[in-house]
Amino acid sequence: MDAATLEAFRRRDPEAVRALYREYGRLVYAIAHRVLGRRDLAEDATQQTFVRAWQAAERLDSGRDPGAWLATIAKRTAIDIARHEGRRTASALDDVTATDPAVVTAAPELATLDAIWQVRRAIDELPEDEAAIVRLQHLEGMTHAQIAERLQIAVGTVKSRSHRAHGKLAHLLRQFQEPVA
Amino acid sequence: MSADERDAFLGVLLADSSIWAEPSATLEDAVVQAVVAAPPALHLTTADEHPPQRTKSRRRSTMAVVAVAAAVAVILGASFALRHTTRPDFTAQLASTTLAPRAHASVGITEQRAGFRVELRAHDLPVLRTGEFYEAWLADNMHTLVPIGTFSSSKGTVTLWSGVSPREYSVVSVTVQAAGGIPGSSGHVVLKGLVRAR
Repeated sequence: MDAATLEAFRRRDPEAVRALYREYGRLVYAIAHRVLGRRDLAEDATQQTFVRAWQAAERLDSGRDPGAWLATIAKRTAIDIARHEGRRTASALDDVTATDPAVVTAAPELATLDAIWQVRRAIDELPEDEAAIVRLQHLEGMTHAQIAERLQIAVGTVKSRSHRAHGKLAHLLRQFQEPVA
Repeated sequence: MSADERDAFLGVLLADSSIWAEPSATLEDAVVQAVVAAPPALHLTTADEHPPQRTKSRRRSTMAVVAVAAAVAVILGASFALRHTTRPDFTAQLASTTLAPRAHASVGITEQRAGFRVELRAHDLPVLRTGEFYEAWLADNMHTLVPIGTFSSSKGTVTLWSGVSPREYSVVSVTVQAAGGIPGSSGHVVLKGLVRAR
């Protein structure tokens, strides 16, 4: 993201807001979705994240990648919403009997959210055909043969794309060789 | 972190649906509009910043209590009539929560060969947002949840089926769930009550 766009974002230029969203919107959404687990709340959190980013734009260093700064705002915003939702739920359950089965999901650890951001960003770096194979393999638990059948391509192609994709991910995510803190 | 630990950690992350979650296509425009329209100062929407609204909330709560009391009287009358017609084996009156202060419902459960037929007659549940639905649950005293069906209507009667007996699973609750959200109960309980054998 170039400095001119970030300066335009500070001026609330709609096109700059759009450019920032297109660059980082899905990353912000991934964090919000991980914290909140609900599509509607995740979208609210994403919207609030960009509003808060603009409201704090004077602290933005236009000479640096704003990714880490936005990630911090996204985490705080999503956790704020999760706490707010938790309070709503807790107050709703104040008068509930001990046997009521309501469950409140705890927010994930910050380290996990950092990892979510980094992994999502790495996946966005992959070509679409490689990302699709990684998704089917890990999210849906499919074998290479099942992926080949689903995508109507040869098993060998699946294997080579998978190998290439995982190599890129290992390189992009080499920071996980160090403890995540 | 060793290479094996790193691979295992990445495997877990890559299997996380949030990694792959995509926002709706309309979110981009919503974000742009929200930023363009945002006030310049940081504005947090916590309850503590809006004492007048809390006063309104208390007023609304008081009115809701009156409304629920009136509704309970109506339900009692209705359930009396019901007892003399369908004769369910179990009944429950579901009370509102602060998430849906106007909502109330009655439940009649009839044991049948296929399981337990649950007739839930709900009133004044809040209108759901896109992607949301209601889910009804039975739970036992160990907090074990058994889902008994989903529905989307904010009023009227829905028929649900339970494979477990309300003799053991004697708590009925209704939650608001989000499609694609976390599995299990969301914890957003809008109705709750205890089953009683007739």
